Amino acid sequence: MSVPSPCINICRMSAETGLCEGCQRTIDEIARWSRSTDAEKRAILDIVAQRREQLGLGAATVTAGAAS
Amino acid sequence: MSAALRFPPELQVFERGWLSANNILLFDGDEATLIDSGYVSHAPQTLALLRTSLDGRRLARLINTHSHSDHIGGNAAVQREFGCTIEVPAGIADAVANWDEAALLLSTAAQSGERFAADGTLAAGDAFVAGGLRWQAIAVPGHDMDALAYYNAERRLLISGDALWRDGFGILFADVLGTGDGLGAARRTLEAIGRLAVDAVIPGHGAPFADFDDALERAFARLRAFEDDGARMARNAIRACITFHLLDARRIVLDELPRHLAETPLYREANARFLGLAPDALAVWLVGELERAGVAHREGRELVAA
Ligand SMILES: [Zn+2]
Repeated sequence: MSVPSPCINICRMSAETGLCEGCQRTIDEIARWSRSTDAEKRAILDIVAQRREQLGLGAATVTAGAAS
Repeated sequence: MSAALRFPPELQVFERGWLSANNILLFDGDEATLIDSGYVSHAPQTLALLRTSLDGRRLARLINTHSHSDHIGGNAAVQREFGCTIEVPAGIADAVANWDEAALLLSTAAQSGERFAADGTLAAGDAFVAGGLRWQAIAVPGHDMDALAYYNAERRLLISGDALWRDGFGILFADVLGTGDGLGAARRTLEAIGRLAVDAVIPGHGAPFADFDDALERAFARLRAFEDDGARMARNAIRACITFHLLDARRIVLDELPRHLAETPLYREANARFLGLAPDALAVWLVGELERAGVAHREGRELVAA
């Protein structure tokens, strides 16, 4: 299985931080996620973890979905 | 599968979550085509993704795979922003034109949408060029009886919508609601797409994948399980639909859940046709399932999305 997306379906960009309020990625990181190699995806997840720490958020949870 | 699938640069996939379907952006010179637009509440992010990727190029056309809220929810906003035309599968044209919220499963499943007008339709057998590739529309009834998939024979690519995911397929609404033979249609659809030569699938949800045969095998196994056990199909549909609702609403008041389950047609029909539980009992089972799956947790008197 490849690196799972950190998307948690909040998908709203914060005007303040320029990051998605759900997954703390930039719009560019979201746009190129599916073109990124696994190493690049892991690097994005590392940055996301750092941002969450700086923003005072807890560790990210990965939700399993099965809807639509 | 460890390496990212390599698509030509003219084909970009925005992998979204479950509330918004994936968006596929295909470039032809300074014009672009978008396939599916996500959920209505995510439209600002969808627009931002498009603006950054279009980078001055013109979005000329938006095409949908099927009529569900997570695929058409951004249509109105995308058209307002970019002035593109919208083409929908021919089978849903009337439901869109009349904005039939039951046929579009909006009222049926307590989901939201924004009305839009389609400029044209696509039918099975029609073809269009996008991303320098010729895509043929293929009927893929089952999850949505009027859904289309788009197939490129040259690069052996399949844009499958919710007819085939890496692990399964979308809810078979017709069977759950008692409005048609979704199971039979889904079986014929899987058999038909199984005859195509496919190197990569771009599904409506989840990452694009290459292991087409394995995905087909999993889909057939799931279908068999549903054919053998309608109650399992119904429980699955209820769980998936409430998960979607929870991702949308973020929290549900526990005391109000039985009423929501009794009043929303999808849950009411699924329960009446296959389970026969009292709404309270259905709610208790459902909350347990969502907690066990890690989809939600209780906070006081509310159920909160994880
Ligand atoms: Zn769908």
